[in-house]
Amino acid sequence: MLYKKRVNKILLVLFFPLTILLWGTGCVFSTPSEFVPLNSTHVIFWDRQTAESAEFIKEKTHEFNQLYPGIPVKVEKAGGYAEIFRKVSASIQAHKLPALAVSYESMTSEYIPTGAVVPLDEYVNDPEIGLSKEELEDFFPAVIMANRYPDFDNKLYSFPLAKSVLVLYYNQDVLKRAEITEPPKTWDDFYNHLRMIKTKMNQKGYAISIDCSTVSAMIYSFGGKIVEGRQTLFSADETVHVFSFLQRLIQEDLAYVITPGTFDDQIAFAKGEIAYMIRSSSLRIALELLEKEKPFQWGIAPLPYRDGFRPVTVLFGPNITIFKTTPEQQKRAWKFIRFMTSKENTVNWAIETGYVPIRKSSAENIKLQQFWQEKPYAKVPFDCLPFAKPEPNLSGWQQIRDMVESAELEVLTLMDTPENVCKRLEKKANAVLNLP
Amino acid sequence: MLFSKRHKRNSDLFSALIMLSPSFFVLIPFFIFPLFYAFQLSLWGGKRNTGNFVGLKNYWMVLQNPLFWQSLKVTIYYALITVPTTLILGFCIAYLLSKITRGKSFLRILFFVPYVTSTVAVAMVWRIFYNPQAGLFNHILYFWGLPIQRWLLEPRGILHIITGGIVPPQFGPSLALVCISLFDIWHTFGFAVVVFIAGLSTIPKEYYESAQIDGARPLQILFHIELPLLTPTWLFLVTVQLIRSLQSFSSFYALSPSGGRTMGTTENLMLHIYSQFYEYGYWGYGSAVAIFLSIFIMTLTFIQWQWARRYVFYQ
Repeated sequence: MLYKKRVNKILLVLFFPLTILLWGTGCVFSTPSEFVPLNSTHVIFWDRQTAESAEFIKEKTHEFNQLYPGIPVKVEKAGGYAEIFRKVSASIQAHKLPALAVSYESMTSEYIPTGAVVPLDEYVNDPEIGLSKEELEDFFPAVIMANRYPDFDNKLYSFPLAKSVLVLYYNQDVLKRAEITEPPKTWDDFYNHLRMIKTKMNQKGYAISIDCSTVSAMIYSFGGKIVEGRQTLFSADETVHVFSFLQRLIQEDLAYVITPGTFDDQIAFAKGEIAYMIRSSSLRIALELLEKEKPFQWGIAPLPYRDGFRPVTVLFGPNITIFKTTPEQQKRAWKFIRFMTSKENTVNWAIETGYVPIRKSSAENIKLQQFWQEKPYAKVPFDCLPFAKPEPNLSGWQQIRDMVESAELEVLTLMDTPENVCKRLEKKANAVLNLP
Repeated sequence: MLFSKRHKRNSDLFSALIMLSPSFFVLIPFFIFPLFYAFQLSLWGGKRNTGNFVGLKNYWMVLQNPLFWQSLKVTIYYALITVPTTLILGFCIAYLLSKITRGKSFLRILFFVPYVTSTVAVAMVWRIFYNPQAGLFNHILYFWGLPIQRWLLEPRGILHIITGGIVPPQFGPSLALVCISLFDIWHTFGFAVVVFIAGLSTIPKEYYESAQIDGARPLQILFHIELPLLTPTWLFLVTVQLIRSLQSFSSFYALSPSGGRTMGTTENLMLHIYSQFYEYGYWGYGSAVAIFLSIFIMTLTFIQWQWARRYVFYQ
């Protein structure tokens, strides 16, 4: 009897407080079932824009709040895309979310499985606050398709905001010195131009910025595909061709790699040290600023393509995602998106920021036509939109982007053959896509 | 009689449990519970705990994933560089400090300062030093007429760079990993210095006096008295440093360039777990890697202690 009492005492002394502690710790791990807004008095919009774009969004938000009374929309600069991704991921875990955030398709596809993202089809089709059939058809099909997620019943989980396409920038002064009359149309022309620059001017003609979207665009332009279902096709001939082409440029001293994460290629381009740069069309504004400092002749051309194939480029740029907060905030957030992507704002956005207008009808806008007359190169990205293709938006793609950049670096630093790199890349990427 | 024996045994058990209970308060909620929780998470699929029960499939995926093996390789390279270097450097400095009479306290503090400074804060300063364009290290190389380096952005192997391309670039640790290791050695060797000084100070003076009477030279004293009597200190430091290096996170997080810029040559297991768990939301997979890491550390520590039984001398 005494023994039993002792044992009970021991259990009581030792385990009771521990049980309390475990119970307490368990509370930390248990998550509430519903999402709540980060701020109940404002519709919070996490944005990343800087300079002109940030100013434009701020101005338009103010205009929206004035024109449409309701819960005010408040724009908060939440850092770069990587930072926004981390912040939103943390907010999802805390079940406390902003009403809106900018996001790439690869980011949205990471948020969707958590149930935190609001599908927009319901709002788009709403007879009162939605978009009419004509209005919806006014958007370029690619920009809408990019926001439909095949992994998630092909629903519209985000809406296009600041779209851009990958283009080829050329320095006219360098081309003149190398006796090149026009920018290249095909990758063969591009290679020949670089050889001419090397022979005549003894300089490298192209600065490579390591970037997954550029690789994707090149694969498309070589006639390839990136994914089929949930399997990547990185070991296919087209991808090997892309990597072999890039490696050849390095081996023959026709191109060099810039320090990742920098814009060294822009500086070299403005100084006339290189002839070509492949970058987003949104870079136009930065080049115009550099041109003001020290004038030089430059232009924009569509991305080269493989001989015998059709031109193609990649469509990128952030979208807006609406998160589960309250029905009022969600409705207000949708109205804000509709306002930001209206015909008028699409045109103003394109003129002031360097992003492309995402509506077909923009071409008829007099203000935009005048702008294009003044700066003909600014029309090139718009002309690329009909053949622009979005990048894959499968769940897990965010991680694969890093792998593609790793592989590109491996090829460009001549560490291995493109064939081996592509095989390894495909294996790694498929491992990610096949995680349970 | 029997009752009395049992009574005494129960009483001892009771006292032992009472004495141990404070450590249980820390161990159970902060170590044992998370370990079991991680194991529980590792049995589920999907992102952020939204999938179905998958049993041990995540463990199979870990073994199949080339990224896991790559990060394990990085972790092992890192431990192989940092643990011996930190300890040998720490011992040499401690030995020299134990022989000097003036300025000992000042120097001891000086070497210990990096250890008590916030890892992320000093890592940021080192990151500036390593900057390929305007960093201190490239200025030094440039001054001496040596080729400038990309430091933290260099995925090629250090042996490839040193041998001028004779060794293949994939072989051995990358220059970027060596840069992180150098930072870690600088940051932690102060701890080894302090522990070695403490160890050296516990060696009885009589041993030194006897050795001197026998005409032993300083090197003989070092190899026949000081080093054997310091083996418990070495064992402690090797164990602590090894576990620390295998679990290193802050230095990697603060110094590794984001994305695929070093081709995964600076992603150790901890960073791999972090990115899979927090950035990509694979809670199950991330937890499975964490369990593997725990098993790996426990196995290494066990081997180490078995090995130490033979070679560690106690006074």
